Amino acid sequence: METKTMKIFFPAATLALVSGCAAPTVNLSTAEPIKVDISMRLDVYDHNRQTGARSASPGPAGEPETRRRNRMADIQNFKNSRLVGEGRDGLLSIRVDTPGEVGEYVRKTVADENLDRMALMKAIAEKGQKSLPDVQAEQSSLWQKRSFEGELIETEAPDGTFSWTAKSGG
Amino acid sequence: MTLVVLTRNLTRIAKWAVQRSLPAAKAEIGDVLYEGPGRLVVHKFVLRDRVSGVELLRVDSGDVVFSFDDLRRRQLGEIRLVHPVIRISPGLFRILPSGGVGGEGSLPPWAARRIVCDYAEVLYEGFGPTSPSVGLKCAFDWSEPGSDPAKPLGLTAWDIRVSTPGYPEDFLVLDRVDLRFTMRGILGKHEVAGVDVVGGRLVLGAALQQILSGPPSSSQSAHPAATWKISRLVLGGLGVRFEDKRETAANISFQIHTTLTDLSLSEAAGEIGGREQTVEIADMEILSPYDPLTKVFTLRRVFLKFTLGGLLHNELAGVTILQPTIYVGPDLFWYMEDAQSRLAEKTGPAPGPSWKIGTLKVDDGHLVVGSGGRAKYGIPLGFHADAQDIALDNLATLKFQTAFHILPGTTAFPGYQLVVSTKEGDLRFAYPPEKNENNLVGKVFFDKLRWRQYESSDAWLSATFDRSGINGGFGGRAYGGYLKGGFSFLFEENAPWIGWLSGNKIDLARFTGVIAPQNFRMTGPLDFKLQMDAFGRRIERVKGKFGAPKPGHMNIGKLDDLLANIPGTWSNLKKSGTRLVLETLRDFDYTKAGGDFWFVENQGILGLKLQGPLGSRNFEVVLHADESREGRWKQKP
Repeated sequence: METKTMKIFFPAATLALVSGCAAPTVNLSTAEPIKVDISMRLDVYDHNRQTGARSASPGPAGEPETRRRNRMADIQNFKNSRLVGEGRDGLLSIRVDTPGEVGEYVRKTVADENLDRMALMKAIAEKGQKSLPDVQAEQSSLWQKRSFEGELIETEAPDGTFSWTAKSGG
Repeated sequence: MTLVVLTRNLTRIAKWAVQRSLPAAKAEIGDVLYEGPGRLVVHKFVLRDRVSGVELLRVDSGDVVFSFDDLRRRQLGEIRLVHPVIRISPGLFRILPSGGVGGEGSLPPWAARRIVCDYAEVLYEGFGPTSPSVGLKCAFDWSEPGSDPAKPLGLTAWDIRVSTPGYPEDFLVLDRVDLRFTMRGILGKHEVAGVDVVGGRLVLGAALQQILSGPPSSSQSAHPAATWKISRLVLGGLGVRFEDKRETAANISFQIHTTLTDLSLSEAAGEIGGREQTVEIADMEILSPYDPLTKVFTLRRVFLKFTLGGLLHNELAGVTILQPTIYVGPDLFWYMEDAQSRLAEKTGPAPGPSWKIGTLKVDDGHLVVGSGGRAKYGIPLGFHADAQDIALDNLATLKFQTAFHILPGTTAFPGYQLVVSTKEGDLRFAYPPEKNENNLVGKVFFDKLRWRQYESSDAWLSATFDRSGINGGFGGRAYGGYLKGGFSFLFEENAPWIGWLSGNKIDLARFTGVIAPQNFRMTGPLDFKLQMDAFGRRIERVKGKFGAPKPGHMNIGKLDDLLANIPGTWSNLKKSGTRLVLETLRDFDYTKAGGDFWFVENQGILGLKLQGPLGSRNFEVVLHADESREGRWKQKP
């Protein structure tokens, strides 16, 4: 049985109420309806599905796969913002270098992701007795096929040159 | 005295007797010894063709037991042959006296009360390039074989090897064969009552083809074997394999269990064939050219209908295939490419006519989608097919183009939480494919389709298959609108696939009534588009956006629970304020709505923005997999 805790915040809800005691009647109606703008964030926690425990079937290298899963949401967030893209070498590439703390976080996360991806690709190469560049090319193709519309990918033009484009179609 | 002279010259007497009875033969006899009353022992008896010198019969030794009473009746007591080697060749028929085994019911001039042989070798050869060479070992024990011409006799043969001249390997090996016959049948009608074959293997290949392609009325009918008949032939456990020596060729093998009746070799080659025979093949498997553990097709039961005459002309009258499974995966397309390249290699005229099938029926077929490795995922489709006059280039390279019809019916797939009511459809299978595109194209229509709590009607699904994966599209009516989507299933390790789905004019009232009954409700039409990225049954990423092009109403019914549970101990101001806030939040008329969402497994963000005459409502629902603060995406802005 899943237990979900809901925390609701109401940052914009200002109300003015006038309590009448006796005195004269105060008309609270307005000529125009009151417009209310509400912004609300609802955080839903799933305690039964811990991020680190989700890797029920670890990949060839086990731990790198688990770490990758744990940072998948961050990577997706970067992809949504087009900060990173899927390169031709099966690795993530930073496309927009953000300054400050955010940029540092992006760089570290991408570096960690690429370390784990490389470990996984080496394991695949060893298991399949393939060369690492071949595995990288295969994995790059797979990553790019799996990319969502709008996500950045590094594609090869007919003349053999590579360029970064937002994936189209879908 | 006479007896002494006779016993000392038995060898010469025997040679003289053989020369008189078989003038075209030359006999070599080592010793003929008289070992006591009524017993003659022969050592090394060899018959050769007098002209060519070819050895036709050899017996290492033999005993003949007799009595003078037997001799007076032109009969011997017992003949025991030790390791005879009989070479049946055209030369043997030359040395045998013509007409010696004449009319029906006639018996040889000499008979024996018992003829025994524990181990004999028979070689049948030399009848031409299109006549098989046969070697076998056999044993028999016949009592009173001549007393009653209709008396059933038996012979057991084993290690029977049949080959074609010029081919080093045997195309037929039979483990054991039991023959039943009568002297009347053998000598009078050239008829064997029964032949039971237990175990063995048959290779359908060039060697057999050479035998079958031989002129039916040439050398094969020139010797008596061509006129022999078998009343009943029972084949049990005969493994059949299609020969293909290339390293990349797929292996096709199956077992034959069948009974053939009134089989006549001369009829097979001459009158041909009218008699239809049925062979049942069980558990036929066609394996990947590259991975002997990966299946391409499995055929639970196959019934081949043919006539021997048809076989000689490369024709099968009909093929019925029950419970076939097509394993759609890279190996299927490798197999198809393999077959295609094989066809391309064929330059010059074909050695003979192509194989043809009169009618093909396929029933209760299934598709299984394979992936990288050997993971398999069933597809909720059963199919059947009917086709006629199919040309097969050869049995290893099926070449036909037909449609497998998807059968109507309702099927539940609990593993997928899916129930489908199939209306109709077909799976077009051009094989080898045309235009150098190895594909398998299908389109199926569904009356109803239910996945989890979501339903669709008048749906369709189409897919094309190629060596890299499956690409498909689908559509259907749902919740007052129309859904359309597509997917690409990649033949890679862990079965990755991507999909996309769009909806147009979906009735939000009906849709929200399904996904969040009583808790959340919106009205008006909805357009949306989403993409997903998954491995097998595990959806890893989802991303999408949506919008409501027309005005509607939002109601968060779940807030009614909070309204009903406002603590009575609160002050009136606090209670009223809370009530006002919750009611304001609960209902909202909007003129424009839209949002987006993304989820990675069980975490992500859903944003919903509503604008209306009374303001705006902006919601952000953040789904956390845990309470960890790690991850910038989940930190508050």
